[in-house]
Amino acid sequence: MHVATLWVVLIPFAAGLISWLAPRDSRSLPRAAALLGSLVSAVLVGAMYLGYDRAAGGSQFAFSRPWFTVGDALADMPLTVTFGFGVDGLSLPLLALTAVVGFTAVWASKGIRNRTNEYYGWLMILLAGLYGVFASTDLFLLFFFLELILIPMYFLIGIWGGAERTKAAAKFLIYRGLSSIGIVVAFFGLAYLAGKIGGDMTLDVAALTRQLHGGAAAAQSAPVAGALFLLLLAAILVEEALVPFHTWLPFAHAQAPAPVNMILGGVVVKTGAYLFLRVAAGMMPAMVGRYAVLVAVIGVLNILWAGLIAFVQSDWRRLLAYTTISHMGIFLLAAASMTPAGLQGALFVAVSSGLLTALLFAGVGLIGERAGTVDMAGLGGLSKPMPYVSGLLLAGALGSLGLPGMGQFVGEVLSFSGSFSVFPRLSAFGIAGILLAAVYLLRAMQRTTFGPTPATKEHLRDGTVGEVLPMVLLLIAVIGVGVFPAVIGHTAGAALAALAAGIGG
Amino acid sequence: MTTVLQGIAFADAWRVMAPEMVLTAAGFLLMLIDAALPPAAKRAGVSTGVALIALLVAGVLALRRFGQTAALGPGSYLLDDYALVFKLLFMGITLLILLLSLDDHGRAEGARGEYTYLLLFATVGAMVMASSADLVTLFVGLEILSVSSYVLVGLRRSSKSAEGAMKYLVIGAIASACVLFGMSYIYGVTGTTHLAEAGYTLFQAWDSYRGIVVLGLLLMLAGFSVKISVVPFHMWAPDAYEGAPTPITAFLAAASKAAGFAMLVRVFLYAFASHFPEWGGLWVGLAAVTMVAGNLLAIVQRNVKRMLAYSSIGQAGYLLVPFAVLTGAYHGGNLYQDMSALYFYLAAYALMTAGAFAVLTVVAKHARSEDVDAFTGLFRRSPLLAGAMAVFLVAMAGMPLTSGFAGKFFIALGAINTGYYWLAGLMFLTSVMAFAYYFGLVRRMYLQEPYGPAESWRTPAAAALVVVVALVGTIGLGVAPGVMMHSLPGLNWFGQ
Repeated sequence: MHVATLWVVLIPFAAGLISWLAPRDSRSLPRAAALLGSLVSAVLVGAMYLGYDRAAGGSQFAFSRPWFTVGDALADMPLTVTFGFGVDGLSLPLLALTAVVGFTAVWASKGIRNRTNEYYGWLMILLAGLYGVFASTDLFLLFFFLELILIPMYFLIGIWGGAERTKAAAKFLIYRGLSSIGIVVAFFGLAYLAGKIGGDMTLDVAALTRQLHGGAAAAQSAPVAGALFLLLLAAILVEEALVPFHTWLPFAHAQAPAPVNMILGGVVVKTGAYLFLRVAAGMMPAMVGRYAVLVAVIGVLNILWAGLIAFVQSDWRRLLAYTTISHMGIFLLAAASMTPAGLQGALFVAVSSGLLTALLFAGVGLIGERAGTVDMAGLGGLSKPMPYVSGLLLAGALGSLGLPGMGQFVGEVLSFSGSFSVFPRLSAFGIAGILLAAVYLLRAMQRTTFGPTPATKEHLRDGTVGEVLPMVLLLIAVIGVGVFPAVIGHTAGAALAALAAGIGG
Repeated sequence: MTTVLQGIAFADAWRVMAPEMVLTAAGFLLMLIDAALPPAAKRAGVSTGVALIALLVAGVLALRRFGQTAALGPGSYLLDDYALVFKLLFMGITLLILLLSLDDHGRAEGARGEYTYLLLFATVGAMVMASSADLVTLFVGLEILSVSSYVLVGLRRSSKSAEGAMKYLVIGAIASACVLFGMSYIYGVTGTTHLAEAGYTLFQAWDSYRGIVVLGLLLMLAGFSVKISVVPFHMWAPDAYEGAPTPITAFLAAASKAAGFAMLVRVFLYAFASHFPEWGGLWVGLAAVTMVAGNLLAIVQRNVKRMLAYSSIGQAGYLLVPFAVLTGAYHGGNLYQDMSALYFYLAAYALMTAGAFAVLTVVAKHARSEDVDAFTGLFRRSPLLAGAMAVFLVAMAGMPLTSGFAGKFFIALGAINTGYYWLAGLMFLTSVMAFAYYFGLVRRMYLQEPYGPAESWRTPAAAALVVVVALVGTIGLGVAPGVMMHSLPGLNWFGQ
């Protein structure tokens, strides 16, 4: 029994409750509680990251208690739902991503001035939910947290968003809510499938993975397995905002406040990637194999489609939404290959894309605060009045298009080396999409930061040290991942190799 | 019948139906008090106090009977755990409704003594329905509940109230007639009103008298469907809900519906179980239609009471699922598990419904309106009411940390266990459809500023108590569903 993982979830939760109890519209106490809560949980995640025994592998720092039991879930087999947390090679990188993006997003929330106690309260509940998704070792608990995320996101977009905030919040809720249906039916279906083969009902991730692999032939060939996989895949496509289920993301990004965008694009969208690795690849490798081409085609389609659509966007936030979508396309293409390199690349892309998206949204948020707009048509020549912010934004854009030395580069190289070995032709199309990203991102930077500075923008103040700190931290993180890829590679290596071998995470 | 009744000793009757006897006695006592007391004293809540004490005594008596089985007559009136859990639920709901009504009395026109004893009689009717294993006692219970409810709905002296009561009376009477007509066919074929005996006979009679049996079955099914407001037998509900005093609306939505389920399951399980596979799919279809239609129709409502009425129709669809999959499945259903899931969700649903209507009572009193606009910017006026209402709505939508999430999980497990994947999927799909109106109200409360000056609204103590109890129950059952779910399947459900 190890309570560290439990605390990672509970601390932000507690910070959120403290923030709520603070007097209405008071600013210092909620902010202090949120900063402290996100920092302490981040430090805990860091400590677990360093303390994780790579040689031993598997789920560590595990905390598991029976939560409740359903007496006769399948025929007369009981199902015990556990309150189980733990970390392994797959979840640690995503937990670390949540920690970094969460802390920086709280830090970047200084500009929120109304209903601050509620704001920080919801932000911390959101963070707790995200930690919970990545740290759960029970599918029921995982789904629980996945649903929990909807509520704080709804309020964060709906109260502190732009002009069309309520519509954007509702759209977010409906899309993600619909994806939950696919997820929950797939989860329960898997449990029943495993129960019928393994003779024991469980929703515990490790036990379920073992059962589904133990009776491999029976489980994987059952006709219902294919249906469950497709259902889960559809849900993941919504979660990751992939074409054709993507429209909620650009809309939500265009309305949400900047710090919320950092978490939305940086982490919330990545839950789909985690589900793909954990459940689809981990429990149904044969199904991923059967539908590999379909998944890869969807991936490439997204890279290309998002690349083309991004060209016509003049709102930075919508542009970044499509950047995220194209990154997730790379993720799918790489993960579909089910090769060690491809899976490593996929995980790298998920993490570095999260960091870069958060970095870019932080920069765009600052620009929006100063210039009053994030529309490229109204911007230009910002490098003169705002050199630091422009520089950091450029760094983020370069990282996002795959500049060597940053995480995304490593991710893309690994991804394509994995996918080329399985889908050479499709991957060639994917590479073309990457080139598109280079062009539209640089064009956007050029329209925003270079050229003559309009008279109205000449006197904009640059970001203060406190304001650019989140961007700096995120940049350090993404360069760190790029220069020392072993940080992720070693931790996740064993788990990903097991996935590739089709024997589960 | 008369000979049977004469043969029952008081001690036996007390053993089986002590709670009913206490409540009935309290009801008659209240009638006397109401006639004797001067009008000023009636407002002091004497009658409510007596009723509350009676409910507590009856509750304790019921609790002491768990695990025992006994019967009155030749098994016409049963004491088993199935009846007891339902009785406790009815009494709990009535307790909350009485507390909630305390504030309502202050502004009510005219004497309200009848309000309290009618509520007690209605509760007794519901309890009789839960215990009856004979068509005659069953019908008596149904009528006690129904007739009391008709009057209660019409108590508010407004045209809306009269319209609601009239509609409820007419449709309710037709439903009762249907039930009775159906019962007469079953009696005609089997020669007995006793459910279990009828079940044995029907097992053989099914082949030779199929047409008549099916006709009787369908008539009873239609009548029961009215009582639990299943689509397409739901038409009365929105009007009756809207017209009734708000606490009575809560009673109809929670207790009446639960009583309908208690009766329905007992009758169909005892009398028609042998041929479930041949007609049980009907309930599956009704459940599906009810979920979809109830939630769709709720979206367009502007009156919060009507919205909650349609929402409760949708919830009836979810509640029907455990029984439907039991009857619809050719194999693999698990009776006790499904009963537990049904009861868990009923209790959870009763708590959220009571809580939501309690909030509505307070809001409507301050805003003098039951329109959705009354809730606009509620978080500024009363953080407690807004927060509690948000939790109840989110629970009805089946979100985590609430009992609604756990309850839907149990029901879905039962559906998947019997192979009804699509029904489980439909449950979650309609829940997402329901986001539209549940979160629409949340949006009004939190995402919009109130119209006009945001003076804070005081919540009367009794209503606040109801809200807090419902809140604690809703969150408690969501965080620790095991509290209830671990003991339910182990109950001595039907006394075997």
